[in-house]
Amino acid sequence: MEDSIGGSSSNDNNIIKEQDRLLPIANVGRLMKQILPQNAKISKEAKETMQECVSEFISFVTSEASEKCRKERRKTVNGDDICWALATLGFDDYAEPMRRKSRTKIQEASTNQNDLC
Amino acid sequence: MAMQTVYLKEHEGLVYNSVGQLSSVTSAPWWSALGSQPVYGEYCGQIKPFSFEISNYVDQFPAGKQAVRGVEQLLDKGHTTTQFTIFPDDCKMSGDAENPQATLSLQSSLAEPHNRFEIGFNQPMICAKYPYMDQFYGLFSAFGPQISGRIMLPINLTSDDGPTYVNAKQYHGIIRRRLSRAKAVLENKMIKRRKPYMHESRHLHALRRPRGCGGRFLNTKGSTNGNGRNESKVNKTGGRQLQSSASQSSEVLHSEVGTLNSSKETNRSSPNISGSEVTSMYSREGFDGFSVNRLGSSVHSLVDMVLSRPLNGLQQYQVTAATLKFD
Repeated sequence: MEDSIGGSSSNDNNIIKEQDRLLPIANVGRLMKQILPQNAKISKEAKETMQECVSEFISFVTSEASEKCRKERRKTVNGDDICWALATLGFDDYAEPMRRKSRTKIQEASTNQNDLC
Repeated sequence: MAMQTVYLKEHEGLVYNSVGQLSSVTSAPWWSALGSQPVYGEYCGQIKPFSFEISNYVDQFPAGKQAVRGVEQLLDKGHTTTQFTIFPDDCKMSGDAENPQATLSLQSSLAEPHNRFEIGFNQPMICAKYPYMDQFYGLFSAFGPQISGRIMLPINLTSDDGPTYVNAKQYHGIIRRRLSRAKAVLENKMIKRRKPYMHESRHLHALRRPRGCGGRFLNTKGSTNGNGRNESKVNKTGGRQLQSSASQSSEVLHSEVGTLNSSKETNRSSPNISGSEVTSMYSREGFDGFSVNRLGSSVHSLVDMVLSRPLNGLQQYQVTAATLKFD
């Protein structure tokens, strides 16, 4: 049958693994499919390109929020820092819905965040 | 409208970064390019934000030292290592340039941005944007036409295109991300190519499985057991929401595990597949066949498997079927 999940990978420890650097491609494809009509198809190259773009965007916004936390001598980056970073980087149209969503429950907010994508 | 422009600029920035990382440039062309610079002041103006970031981030100096040692160790000099070695030499050069000139206007112009940055630190929320705009407004008025709301990024040597203008609010973020990407490439040797599968043993197992006409796996009973195991994992995760269809839930779990191969197996061996999924599956397989890297690595793995041990009739048939699939 299948190998166990605990099977060791052949990657070297010093190399950043692909699954650590990028979001899972199946989830990215599913999010892309939500916005498209029923009979649309998405090429694998499109999913891989979107995978790179969204992973870089997450690092971009997170580094801005992390820089603010570094200046304020805080160690935890919370949701308000992410909203502030979005506003600082010029994504004002996204910062306000995110701020409103983050006030609701965590699970409900995570559901609504998928709608924003 | 403006948001689309922002996205386009960001995308162009990403393309330049990827081009810069992929190609390798030795230090000699950099200095020759420096010598051939028509306007030296413009070059100094572009270097100023880097020097500012050096003074701001003290921890970057160890990274620079590691870059220097990396240059000493490695024969191949990439653009990223060159980018790190620029800072101390450029500081020295700027110092040498300042000594013979010694003009009051130059000193006053150098002093003013520093004071403004200090003001920016005292009030980060209010003054964070204003001094940057002042500095670069003066810069553009001296050296070229100004585009409203855009700041010119430092020119990437490996790119053939001209300078890229980005949103002023995102300039420092982009520079910071460039440095962290270069640092990651230098230290961790990030994999730039994408592997077709995660685990060798799972890949070999998939090759051993019997396939019917069209390349699908024959064993339907195994997929049922796999689905059962996936359901138990769903219960373990707890807070995760269950998807409506079984194939989607199994796909979610396999993506959590991070094995692309298992995801493909589940997609192929699932008995209930809708028409659109079948069509998308065929298109994906087609694209898999056309990708050069994937084809080369797959053929290489096939050759390794053939050479490692002798094959019986059934395994030879499977290898032949897999080879025909890749052709």
